[in-house]
Amino acid sequence: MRPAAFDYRAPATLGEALALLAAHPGAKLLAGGQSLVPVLNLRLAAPPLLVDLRRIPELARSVLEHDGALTLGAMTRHRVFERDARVRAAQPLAAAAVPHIAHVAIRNRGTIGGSLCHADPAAEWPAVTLACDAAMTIAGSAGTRTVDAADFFTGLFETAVGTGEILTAVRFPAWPARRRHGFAEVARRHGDFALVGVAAAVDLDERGAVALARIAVFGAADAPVLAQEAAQALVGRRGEGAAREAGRLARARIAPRSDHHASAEYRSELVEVLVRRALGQALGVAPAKAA
Amino acid sequence: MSRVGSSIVGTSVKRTDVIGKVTGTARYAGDVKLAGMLHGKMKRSTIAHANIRRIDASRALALPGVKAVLTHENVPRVLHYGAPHPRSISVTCDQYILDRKVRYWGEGVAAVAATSEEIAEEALDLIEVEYEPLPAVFTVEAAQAPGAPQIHETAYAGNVLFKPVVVTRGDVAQGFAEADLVIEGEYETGRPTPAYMEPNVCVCQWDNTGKLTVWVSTQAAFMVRGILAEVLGLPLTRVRVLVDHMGGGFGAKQDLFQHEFLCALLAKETRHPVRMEYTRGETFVGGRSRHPCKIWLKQGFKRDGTIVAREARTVFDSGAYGSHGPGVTIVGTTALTSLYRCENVRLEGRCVYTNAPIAGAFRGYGVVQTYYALDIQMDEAAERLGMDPVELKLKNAVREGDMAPSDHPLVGHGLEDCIRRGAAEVGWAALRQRPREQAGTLRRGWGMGCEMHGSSAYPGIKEQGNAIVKMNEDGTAVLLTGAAGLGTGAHTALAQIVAEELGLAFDAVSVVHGDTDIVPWDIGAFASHTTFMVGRAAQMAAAEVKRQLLQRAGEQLEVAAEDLEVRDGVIAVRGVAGRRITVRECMGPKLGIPAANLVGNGTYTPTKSYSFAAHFVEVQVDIATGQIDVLQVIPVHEVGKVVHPIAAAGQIEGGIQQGIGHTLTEDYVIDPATGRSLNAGFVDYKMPLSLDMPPIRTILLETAPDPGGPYGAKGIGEDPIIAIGPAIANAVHDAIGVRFRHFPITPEQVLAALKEKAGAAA
Ligand SMILES: Cc1cc2nc3c(=O)[nH]c(=O)nc-3n(C[C@H](O)[C@H](O)[C@H](O)COP(=O)(O)OP(=O)(O)OC[C@H]3O[C@@H](n4cnc5c(N)ncnc54)[C@H](O)[C@@H]3O)c2cc1C
Repeated sequence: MRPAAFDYRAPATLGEALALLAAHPGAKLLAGGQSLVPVLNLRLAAPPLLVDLRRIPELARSVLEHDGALTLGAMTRHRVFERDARVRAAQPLAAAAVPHIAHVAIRNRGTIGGSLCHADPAAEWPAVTLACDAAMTIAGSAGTRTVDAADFFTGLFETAVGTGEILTAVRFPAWPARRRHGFAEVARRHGDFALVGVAAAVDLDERGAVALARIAVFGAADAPVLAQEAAQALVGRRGEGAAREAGRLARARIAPRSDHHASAEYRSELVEVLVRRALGQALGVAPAKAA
Repeated sequence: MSRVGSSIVGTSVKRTDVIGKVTGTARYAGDVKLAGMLHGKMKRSTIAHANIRRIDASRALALPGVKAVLTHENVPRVLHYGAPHPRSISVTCDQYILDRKVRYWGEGVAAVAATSEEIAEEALDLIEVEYEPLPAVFTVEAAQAPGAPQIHETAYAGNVLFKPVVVTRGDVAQGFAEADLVIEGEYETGRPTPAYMEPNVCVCQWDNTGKLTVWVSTQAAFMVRGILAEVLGLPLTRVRVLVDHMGGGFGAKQDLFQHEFLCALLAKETRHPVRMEYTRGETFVGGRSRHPCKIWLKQGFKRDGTIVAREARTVFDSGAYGSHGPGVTIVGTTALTSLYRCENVRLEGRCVYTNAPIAGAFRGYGVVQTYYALDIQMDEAAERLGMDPVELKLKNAVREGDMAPSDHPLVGHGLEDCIRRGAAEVGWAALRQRPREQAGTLRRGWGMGCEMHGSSAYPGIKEQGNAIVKMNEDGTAVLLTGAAGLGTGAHTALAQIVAEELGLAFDAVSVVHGDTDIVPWDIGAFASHTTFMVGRAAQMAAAEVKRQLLQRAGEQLEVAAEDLEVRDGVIAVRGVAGRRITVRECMGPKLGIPAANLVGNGTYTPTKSYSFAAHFVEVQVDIATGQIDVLQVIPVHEVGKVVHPIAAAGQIEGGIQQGIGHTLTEDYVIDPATGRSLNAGFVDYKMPLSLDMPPIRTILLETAPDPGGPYGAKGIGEDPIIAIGPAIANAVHDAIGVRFRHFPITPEQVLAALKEKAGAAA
């Protein structure tokens, strides 16, 4: 398996990268290459030019603000979330999700920007950004714009990043003191893309009841989805019963597809079980792994 | 490591291949680079069953860089055995290099040689093939239905490959009449593939004398030589096959695939060396899988657990060609005569062509399938009889003197020893009494499975092991062997045996292998044969050289050779201190006397020998998601004599990994309507990876050494993949009370079965 021939450039500034995209229609951005290179090798795409983002300083920059908000440059490697305790503490849901992405070697190379722009329906990062209400910064020839995670994932492998644009950063709002999280997924093997997964962020009120919940389900549709009704049904409640009901509601609203890895029916079952489990973790009614 | 004397066999000396492998300097067939070398690629069919109406290569030939294109119109049309030991009952003569007809999706229909792989690949798209589609069958039922399309003219009857094998011992009707309990069931196994790391590859070059040299990744270099010579019409002096290191084969690489012939013919046509390497996808599509199998099994038991009758019918799906279909069917079916003793047995095994991918030889050779059924049914019987399955299996375990499937009396109580030791190790009796977790969604269970497997393919194939040992004038020795090094460490084991026999240090023995012009003939590295048969031949060759050596030493020391012994490189007069000479001194030239030329030849024709194992497994089932995790495996293997403990344990761990894959995650899937392959790659074909592996606590026993094997050693290559499957299925039953009679067992099926069970209970 070899890719078709292509040209390669590694510009040092964002401006140069945007200019290259403008000058070469069909050019592709190269981040960690962990999704793009397999696509090239299988000859599912044959771009004439690859624009490597690795030398552009601002894409690698991350900022942890005083209030706890975290801005990650698009070229931030997944592995940072296993290595940097400050980043982990700032965004515990991301820290729980990242070890489920592929294998160490892939997490060393793969980037958050690449994962978000590739927008695999079973990928962890898109769901985490949805659950955390993150915002993406996109640069284009006309300047920079910001898109909320809820509007970013537009379809199967499709995002709000337009032709000639570059995702530069992702901003996670500060993690509130009373936010709890849960993360659960089922994959056939360690490191495989999930059959279904759930990333949940739950804000509690002073009495420990749910004030607001964001439950992102991935692997069950063309793009990650927020289980809105399930989240609403949680408000004001606590405990295992609430988690169970949310699981049922999520299942009722999401209609997964079959493929040869799993049937739609099995995926539906997993939606219910995993929503229940993720919320169980968030609400403190179940151990992190089981039940 | 410089180990000496009698401690070499049984010691984990540093394997001779590891430095090359870990430093990347070990040479594999795919590493061969020759001046002017071209690259070959195969065009594969996009239909499962069709006649080729028209094939046109003109546009491909016009592409710059393309040097030759072969189709069925310009290659020799010779019907051949694509698998080893031609003319044995194991294999089928049903293949052409390229045929006018295609019989499975992905069969090679043309080949291109070009100046680069990219150009060759591009040229494939320019070859136009017009097919006349034929109805296709993808299951053994469809293939045997009235009116099914006949896939091969050469078949025994319809799509049945060869005359079904029937084995009878005793009187089954009588046996069942005496039974207190009769159990019958249907069992079905999937289509795992060996998934060796090194893709199939060969490089072919012709010299100016018309001699063909082939570098190839094969387990059976002499078979490749023989079949190539036969099909290409060459004497054996005109074909030389070279194999250095290999990245696995697991049985599949006994076959010739289409590319060896095509590569040789492309090299001939272009007068350039040509290299052909399969992509990972092609190793699935054009490779060899395990035979999917359906087994109907019925047994009768006395109330005390004694088995009084066993009847079985097996149907093996050979896919589009015969390959090892007959051998696998015979070995897998006749295996049911044994493991658990039974005097009244009737077995029938058949093998059927379909338009599915080709099934071939694969570690465990039919026995993986049939013992899966047998060992699960034993568990079912134990439950119905209210017995502990370990007790039931112990009661019926084959013993010394029982007739093996090969019709040889068994040596020793290996199986009983394995079961007892494993049960003690895990505290089986206490486990049976333990309280069961009912809270949460995780359920744990224990299960065990047993197996026995023959060393060498004898008597199905009249095998022999051969070896030549030569002394060097500095007192070191060389072993010449035809045995391939698949990556098992076989050459290290053989060198250990020679060093042990000759009384030399391990480092003082080198091994020459992998050149059919030089080394003695070998049938190939398969059927758990190498350490057992070639090891014994090497021991015999070494013993012969030792005899010559002591003769020479006797002359030098002026004593009778019979009074001499050699240890740690020193020859001494037995019982007399001081009368000694080193092997080096004995061998070397002296003033006016040339160095000696001492050569020993060993040939060993075996009787059959069996190794045994019992695997004990703990699993965890998540009843909410259906996921099964294997938590730990305690494999106990009785192998006669352990030559290299680490290599032996490596075989066992690898076999367990493959077996877990078979049972839980691996299945090569084809579209049931078109036969197109759906998961030909390592992303979608799910082998367990290192992170998925449970802890394995291997126990090796030497309680039933075989007098035929070197120092009592028996085979171990195939055994470890057999017992793990039923052990897992039995453990799953123990955990959740659901009986699965097929593999792979998917989480989805677990959930569905649990629901059904809950429904039935409600
Ligand atoms: C065996 C294997 C298993 C995997 N398992 C998982 C898994 O379980 N979960 C998971 O989430 N992922 C998994 N991945 C994918 C991995 O996480 C990738 O790292 C990630 O999807 C893409 O990141 P990348 O930096 O490698 O992007 P690349 O491969 O370089 O790029 C991916 C795509 O995004 C575009 N792109 C990249 N950066 C930008 C940017 N800044 N702006 C606009 N477009 C951009 C590229 O043009 C390309 O189209 C797996 C990969 C492999 C090989």
